[in-house]
Amino acid sequence: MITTLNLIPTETAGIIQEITTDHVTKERLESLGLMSGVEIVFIRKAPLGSTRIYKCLNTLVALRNDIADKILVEVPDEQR
Amino acid sequence: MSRDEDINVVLTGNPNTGKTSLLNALTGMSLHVGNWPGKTVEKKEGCISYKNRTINIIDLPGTYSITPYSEEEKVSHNYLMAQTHAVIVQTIDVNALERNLLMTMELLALRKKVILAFNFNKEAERRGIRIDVPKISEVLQIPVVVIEANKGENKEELLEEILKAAQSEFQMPYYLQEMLKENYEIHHEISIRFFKEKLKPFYSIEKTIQRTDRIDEIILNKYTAFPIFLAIIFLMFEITFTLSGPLISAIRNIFDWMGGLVGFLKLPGLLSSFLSEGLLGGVGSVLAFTPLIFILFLMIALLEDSGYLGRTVVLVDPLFGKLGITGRTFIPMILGFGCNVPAIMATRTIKDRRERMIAILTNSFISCGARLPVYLLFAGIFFPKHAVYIVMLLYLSGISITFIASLILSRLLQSQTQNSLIIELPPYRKPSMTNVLKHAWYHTMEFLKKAGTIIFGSVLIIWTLASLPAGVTYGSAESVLGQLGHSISPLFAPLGFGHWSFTVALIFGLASKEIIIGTLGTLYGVGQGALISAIPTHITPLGALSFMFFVLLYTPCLATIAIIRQESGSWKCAVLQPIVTIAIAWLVSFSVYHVGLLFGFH
Repeated sequence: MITTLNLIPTETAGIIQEITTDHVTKERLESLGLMSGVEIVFIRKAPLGSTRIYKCLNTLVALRNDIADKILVEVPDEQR
Repeated sequence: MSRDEDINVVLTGNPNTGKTSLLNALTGMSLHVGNWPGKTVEKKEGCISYKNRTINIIDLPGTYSITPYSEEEKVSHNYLMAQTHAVIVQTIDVNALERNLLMTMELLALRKKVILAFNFNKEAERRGIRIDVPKISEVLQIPVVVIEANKGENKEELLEEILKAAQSEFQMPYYLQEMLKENYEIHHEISIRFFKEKLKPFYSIEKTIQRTDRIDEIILNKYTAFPIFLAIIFLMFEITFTLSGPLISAIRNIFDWMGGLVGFLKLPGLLSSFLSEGLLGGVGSVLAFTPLIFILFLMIALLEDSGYLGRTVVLVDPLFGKLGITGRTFIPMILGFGCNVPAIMATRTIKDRRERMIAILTNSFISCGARLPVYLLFAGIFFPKHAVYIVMLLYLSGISITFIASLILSRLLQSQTQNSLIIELPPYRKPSMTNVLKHAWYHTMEFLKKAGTIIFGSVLIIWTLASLPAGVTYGSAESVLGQLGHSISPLFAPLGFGHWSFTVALIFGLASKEIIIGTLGTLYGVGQGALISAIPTHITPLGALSFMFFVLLYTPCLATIAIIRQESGSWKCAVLQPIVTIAIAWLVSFSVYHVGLLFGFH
């Protein structure tokens, strides 16, 4: 099923489908490896606030939810 | 390219890939740190000789991409475009090969001769990553050298490849032509597909033992994260001040002693005063800063190299997010407690231009180490039982005003892009002492060159104003500076410190804040000890409180103003910041004084 990145449960992997941020932000995400077709795993929440830490192309990336909710991911059904 | 020309090597790579270590290993002591001309981006270069060839090494800023959006990326992009024959060496963290190769593809699309330096191979091996390096090099059709940058391993091999590449022309790899979007651009998605189809068979992650994940479980844990964070920040300052304190006093004592020696020389009055107050005073106040700056940079380099710095950004980000900025502002902010000059230099780590400007402009509200002696003296005289609380009140007020100013500026300065937190958290690694020491050393040298000349220059100007017209006692009411103080002191009467001596001290404070106390001593013609009884004859306790607030908030020292000019790249900022801060200081001190009067204090 398709959802936004900020909604996937811990330790869950999804495949990025689409990024709907502004162009510059999208480029920045892309250069960090976040782009369609790439697998991303939600690792943990930051102790405070809406920031969550993801693993993508074997690196850790921290994003606030205001960005994560603009990233559409497909989560394979058997994982849910 | 002829046989004898210099070889230009451009070093590039993602952040945290060991680029600086490789640069240190290659250039040794020839490394020179400066700024890109007309830019606020750091430039490092070095020059070495290998097999009778001169090799110039230029270090580009660590970026994830050379698509020119940020100022650092623009610098990188423009420089690469101009360097048609240069050999590009890209450092690669093999743990994140797929991500790192995104930039390799961008470089190849620009028709650059690229050599890949694979770093952190042993770490990757421990993490269960298997890499067939010769195959990867073969498929990519570019040379790959396996290095361990921290230990300088395989440096020779890399230099050999550089020599080879310098002799040859760029060869377009067979796979690249059909991948190009425009003539010189490539889609990242196509690069990723290429990796999956062509390189994946030679790169496998078998087991995922991740030491970093286990450390993060404690470092970013709901319960332990903040106690650890506070302990580390506290330790950082504790170590900085404990180590630098005695060094600073020693330097001051040496210069005081030399100043005293000048007195024995029986020189003409003006020359003697120039030597002791001007020259030695100037050099002394510059040098006295250096231990503090060096140790602060050392601490920051340790935090950065260990991987913890990125975590602090994530920890404080929720608070900073409410102010319209991100956690990246945090490090420059805490450095400001030491000295605002390195703090403003450290804003280079903030990628977003708008956020960086906010950090540069608001940093001087953070109370630097030079202002503390003023608080200690005044609070000690007027509020001996509550001195600690008064000092804490001042520090907290400084922080609050920084936050309020950031909030206002973030509303004023609009941005087209969403300013949110996007940050890579690098793996935890043991910092390399050589790197950490070199980092601290180069930044201290940079401070000495930039700020040093300005502090020194301003001390000399103030010395001149305090010594003219000829024949007056240094800094007395009759000197140009004394007269200036007299004429503008009525402006400060509504704040509770209308006596001209405070005005003159504040003007001296523009050279460097810790001079304020010494100036009052000179003006009253008494030593440090007698100041305690001299000051209360000219000011009330409430006036003293108001004066402390003014010292906290008013125009930063000239070195800070110069660094604001350099790091913002804007004269407008360097002119407006001092004016706005003095206006804010006036308003706050006025409020403190008059609210105090209303409550019956005096």
